[in-house]
Amino acid sequence: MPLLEMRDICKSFSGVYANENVSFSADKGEIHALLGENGAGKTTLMNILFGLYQADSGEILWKGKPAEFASPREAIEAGIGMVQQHFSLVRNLTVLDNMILNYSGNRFFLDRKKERQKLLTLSERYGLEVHPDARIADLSVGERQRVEILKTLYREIELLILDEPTGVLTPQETSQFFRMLKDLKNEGYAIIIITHRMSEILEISDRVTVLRDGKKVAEHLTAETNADQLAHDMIGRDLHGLTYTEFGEKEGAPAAGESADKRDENRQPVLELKAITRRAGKHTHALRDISLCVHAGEILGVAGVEGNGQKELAEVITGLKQATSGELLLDGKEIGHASVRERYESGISYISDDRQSDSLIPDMNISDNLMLRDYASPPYADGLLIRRGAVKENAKDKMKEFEVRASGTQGAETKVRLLSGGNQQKLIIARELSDRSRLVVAAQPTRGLDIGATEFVRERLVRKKESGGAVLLISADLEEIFAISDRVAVLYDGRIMDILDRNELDIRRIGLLMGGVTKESV
Amino acid sequence: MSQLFTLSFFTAFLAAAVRLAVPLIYAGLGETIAEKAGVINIGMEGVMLDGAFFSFAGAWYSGSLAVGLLCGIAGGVLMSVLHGVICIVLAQDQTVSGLAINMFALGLTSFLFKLMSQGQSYQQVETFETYAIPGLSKIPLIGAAFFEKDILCYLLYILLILFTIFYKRTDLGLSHIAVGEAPHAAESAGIPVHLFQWTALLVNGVLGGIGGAYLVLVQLGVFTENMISGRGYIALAAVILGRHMPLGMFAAALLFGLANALQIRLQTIGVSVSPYLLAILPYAMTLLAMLGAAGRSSRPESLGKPYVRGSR
Repeated sequence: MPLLEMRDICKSFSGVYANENVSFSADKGEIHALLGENGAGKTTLMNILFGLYQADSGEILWKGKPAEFASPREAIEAGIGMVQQHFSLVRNLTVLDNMILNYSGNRFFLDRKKERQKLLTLSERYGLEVHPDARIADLSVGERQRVEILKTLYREIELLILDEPTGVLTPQETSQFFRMLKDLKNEGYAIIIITHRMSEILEISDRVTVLRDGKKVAEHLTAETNADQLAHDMIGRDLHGLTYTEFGEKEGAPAAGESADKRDENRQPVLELKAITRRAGKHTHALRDISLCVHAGEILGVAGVEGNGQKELAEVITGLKQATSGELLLDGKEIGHASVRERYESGISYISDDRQSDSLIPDMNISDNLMLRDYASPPYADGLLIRRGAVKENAKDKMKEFEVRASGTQGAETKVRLLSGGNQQKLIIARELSDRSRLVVAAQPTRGLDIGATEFVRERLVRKKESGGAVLLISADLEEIFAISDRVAVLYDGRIMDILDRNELDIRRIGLLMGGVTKESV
Repeated sequence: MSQLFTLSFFTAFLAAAVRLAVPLIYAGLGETIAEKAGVINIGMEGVMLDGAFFSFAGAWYSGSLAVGLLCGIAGGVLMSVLHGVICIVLAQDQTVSGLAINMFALGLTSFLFKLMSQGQSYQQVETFETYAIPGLSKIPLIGAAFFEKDILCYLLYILLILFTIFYKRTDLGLSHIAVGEAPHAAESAGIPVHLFQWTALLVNGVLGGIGGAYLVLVQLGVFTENMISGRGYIALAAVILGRHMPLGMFAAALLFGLANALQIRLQTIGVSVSPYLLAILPYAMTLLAMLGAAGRSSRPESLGKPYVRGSR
């Protein structure tokens, strides 16, 4: 008897099926991967299990008995925990308070001293380092992920659901995380992991269920399948290869063959940072003496564990924050004191790692979000008024060109909040990668996206570079850095540890640099 | 002017300030609790007015202060339940609902009072007695102001301390904070968001009702139309100025009490400034205080946003 069985689950949102007759099961001591593109219905299925949504029909058997969880509280009480992709943390509370929030081990009065100890023990045991008194709002996305995982482990659960858990971890952290998952599995936990990364599925899972368009299309034992088959099941077509570049392999990578030195000679520097320094704030990390250069027709990857100054680097370049000292040049012109708009108008685009708060206004619709950066200039502005016709026209073109799909019937009038992560990101790219953009600062541009969308985003960045633009790709995902960068800078503690050419790339070396270890200190 | 500087003047001045502040503190505490859970009740003015009227009616008809108090509480709760139905069940705009409640309460109480009084005037009910706390009430300056009060005022001190502990030290208090900060996260942690918001609103009604009743049953013994005259709004300001914590709100409300007492004193000793100008003082101070508090928001992040389960 499986620990969990879901039978013929159906769920629709305003007439559109998110799940259609999906059956799914999970056993003790098993890692079951749930695979599918964004919008395939994976998260909906798990939200139903976790009591966030109610199924329209179908049944759930928990330990052999029919169960229906009306709320997450009931699911947690039954022994089901879930780490959601959009974090469920209270930003203004500390790590510890988030841990003990509504924890069943609490008495009426909180015993923070005891719980703190428990948290530290747990975080040490699973190698998930956190600071109990830090406020969530001050943590990087990667750190928040750690808190989320710990929070779930904190509660006595038997089934753990993880929605895209590794998107924000470094390779070292990921392998540590996998060791932890295997430990949990051996302790008898059932684990459901929602992911789009083939390598992970093949490495960690025992079984794979593939969803496409809300329907279950396949279920395999991991040992009996391979990446090609899974990819085919998932998207029903073959991929081009930007996503599949394995470490060390270089085919499919657009920059292959040419040596970096040769390229540099005949290419103009687009962005130059000279000794950029920024003091650490209460909630921000420092930048220390950063000098780098991004040339036309080049993708410079910035690798590093999050929270080492990535956000600050991106924001100093795009103008959201000011450097304390140093020079910032765009096409040879000093822009260190230019406003965000001036920088945008002279060609700096920004794809932020926090798309919902930095790049989009979730409660506004697609067409308005598409003109957020240009609303004050033609063709959208006509004196004091906005020309709705031009806005609509633009939305129509961009949605088509960039394959932005709005589920439902409202088209360009759909609120951005209702789009899937992949479509939100496509929308941002449609806005930011205009013809006049000279430099694209892309921070974690494919985080949380499925393979199809990931490939799309990378392809667009490569296309930008091929048309002579410069791209600064900040990513915690080494696979991504390796796949499309021409050179790779490693950021650690606000410092550039080293800048490597494509042909010197070596996962181990980069991993060490990311951990602050230089050649000299080895 | 020399009388301004005697100890007895300051003692009386402080006592007046506390007296003026107590209804504000009751309402402010109720509002703090609702706002912590993410529901803003601009209708505090209406809640207090309802509390004042029904406490007066209850005490008048039954001749009992206890019955009056209970009626006042019921009156306050009535208004916040109305607010809850609109804001929690129907997920409508909280500001609009609150304003509507203020208008509604004004109309309702004025109408019922007309029916009740039938043209007679000067109806008076008896008021709660004061008890001096031995020892404490003998402290110079503050003794008389804080410890020669009625039972409702002492209850208020206890509530302030209890709610401070509640938010800082208890499981339930932490959950309430989470509901106002991030309802989706709270729901994922298994907290029944709507239930908590309802509880908070009920407490809001009870305390707001007492705040209104306090004016009638402790201080004046009478009801007059629109007698709250802005106290509900000042209580809202005190909550913000007090950074959404019970003791902070307490201090802020005392400050308003002081401003009001000062304005009355200045009028009675005949300072040659227009009394109308002086009457602005507490409100001007409110504005100044808000300016001073700008940029240091303690506002719960999801305050005023209706929470709909299952929405993204």
